[in-house]
Amino acid sequence: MACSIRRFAPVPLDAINPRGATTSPGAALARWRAALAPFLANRSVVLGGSVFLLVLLVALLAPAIAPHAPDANNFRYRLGEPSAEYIFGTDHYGRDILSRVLYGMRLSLLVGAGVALLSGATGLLIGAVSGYFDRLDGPLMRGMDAMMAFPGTLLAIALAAVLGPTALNAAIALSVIYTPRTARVVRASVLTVRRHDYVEAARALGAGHLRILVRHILRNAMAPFLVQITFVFAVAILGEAVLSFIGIGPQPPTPSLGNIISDGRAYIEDAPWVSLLPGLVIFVIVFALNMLGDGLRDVTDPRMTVEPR
Amino acid sequence: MLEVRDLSIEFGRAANPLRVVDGVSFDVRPAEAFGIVGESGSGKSMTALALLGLLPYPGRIAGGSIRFEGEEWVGLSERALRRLRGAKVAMIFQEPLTALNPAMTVGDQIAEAAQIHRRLRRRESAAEAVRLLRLVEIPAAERRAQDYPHELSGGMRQRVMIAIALACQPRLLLADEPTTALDVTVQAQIMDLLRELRRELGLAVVLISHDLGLVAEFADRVAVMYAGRIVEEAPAGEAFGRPAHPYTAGLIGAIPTLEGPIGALRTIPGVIPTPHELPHGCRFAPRCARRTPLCENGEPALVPLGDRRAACLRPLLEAAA
Repeated sequence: MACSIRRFAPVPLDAINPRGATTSPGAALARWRAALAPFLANRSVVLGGSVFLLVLLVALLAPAIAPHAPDANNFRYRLGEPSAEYIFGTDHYGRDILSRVLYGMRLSLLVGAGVALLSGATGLLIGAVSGYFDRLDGPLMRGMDAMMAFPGTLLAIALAAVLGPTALNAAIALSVIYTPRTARVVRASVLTVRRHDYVEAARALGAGHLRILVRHILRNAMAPFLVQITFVFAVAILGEAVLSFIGIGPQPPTPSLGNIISDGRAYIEDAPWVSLLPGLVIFVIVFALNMLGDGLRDVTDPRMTVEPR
Repeated sequence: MLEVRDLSIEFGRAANPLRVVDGVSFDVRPAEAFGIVGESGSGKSMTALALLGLLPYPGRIAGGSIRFEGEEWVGLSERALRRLRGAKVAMIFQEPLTALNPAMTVGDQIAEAAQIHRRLRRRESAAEAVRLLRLVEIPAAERRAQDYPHELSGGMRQRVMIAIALACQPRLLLADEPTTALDVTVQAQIMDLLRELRRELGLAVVLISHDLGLVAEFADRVAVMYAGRIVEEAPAGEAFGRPAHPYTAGLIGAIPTLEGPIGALRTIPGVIPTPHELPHGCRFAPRCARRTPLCENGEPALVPLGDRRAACLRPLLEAAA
């Protein structure tokens, strides 16, 4: 077994593509398929994921499938019962509930996604920093504890009231209250991953903090974070509904699932259909996301799996 | 090249420290293969980690000096040490699976290592990764570069670890039990590879192991550590052929041989003392067959004895001079 540097002279750069690859795209595809297989074998992931994708698709296609414009009134048919023309009835301005719900889904999903991204980004940053730098851990986590000591909804109401009632401000307020939980989840997995030998090995090579944290620790701490983000998406949709319901979310006439329910509140006895459909849609979205999150957690962290009964 | 003088490592509170390495001194010359042998708990791994300033909390260097190519490393800031780690001295770890990042292809990991101290562009470092994989004799290097650690065998992973360690062209390689996790045939291949690399690259290697046979075959000189101190340091052939310290002799005696009658395995009576309960005087005395009352009076110094150094009042071999 001989080895010679001379024999293995540096390979000319143009002989190799940037990833040093000579593999076929088929092999890459096979690897992806192998990586996705355990997720596709999980019932919760498949069911929750496909319902959620369906919801997304419907929301995206709202302009194409809504039978009416969301703000078109028909004053001769106010609080109208479900009928052939208005499948889920009309509200107190004679607007089509189905069309408003379809558009409202867009806004609610957008707020949910915005909160997931924003609180995800801040939670990731705070969690990563406090998990990695021991000296910052105490102060940052005590700050998070202080935020968690407030009742979340009250804090969100206060923030939204101060910032003003728009969809963006609702998203900001909700992001603030969901950040501590995400930060804790990230911190916990950073604390686990940083003990691994490859982190020590990277340090032994002279890697700096940023490189170790991002490339070696966070890369291996992503799974619980992504699961958490899925749950935040779900609770943010509920949170948006709460803020809209009490009138400090996105303002009418822009439809959101929460403010349609709020519109129906006054007529709940005479025209229950106004609030029924948006309520059901919220239920379906949140249920699908929770199912997806549970499934993702089961696949990525087998210790948490509950044996099927 | 590397001069370690009176290196001491302590754990615990400053008021009541646990001294796990006590006054260790040795030199490693350029391109030399230096072995450090000892049981678990003898302080050999801590010594290696201390060289890179990587002692696990709350461990600290309590005294002594580590000079590499004339530069003092003890007391350097973390930032200054970071520039030296990997670039001057690199380390390969015992367990190649856990010391590789599971979420990165091995090619990316080698390329990353190459980028840390060398200003390489992405394309260059990817090409360098493939070159290093060839250097450690991994077949189909271009294809293997795309693999994740779990797709490789134990021996291949250890080769990748070595490639990563070599990526920044260090002058000295610290190998802490590099083959303990591997089976015997693969172990021989990895040691062959290290030998070749040493010859080709003029690399100095410090091999840390509890395996006397491995060290005897590989190293030019060995230091035998016991309970945090070096008890004997000698050319490898000498140390194992004609040990001077009773502990070295005991270790060699404990190796089962293929020849002769089959009997019970020979052992050294007793166990290595923990740093809390070091005996008075020579640390090995309670387990030593050659001890005298004098041995309990004070710790014997590591004194020259012919071409070697031994820390024993009654060495097995009298000074030649």
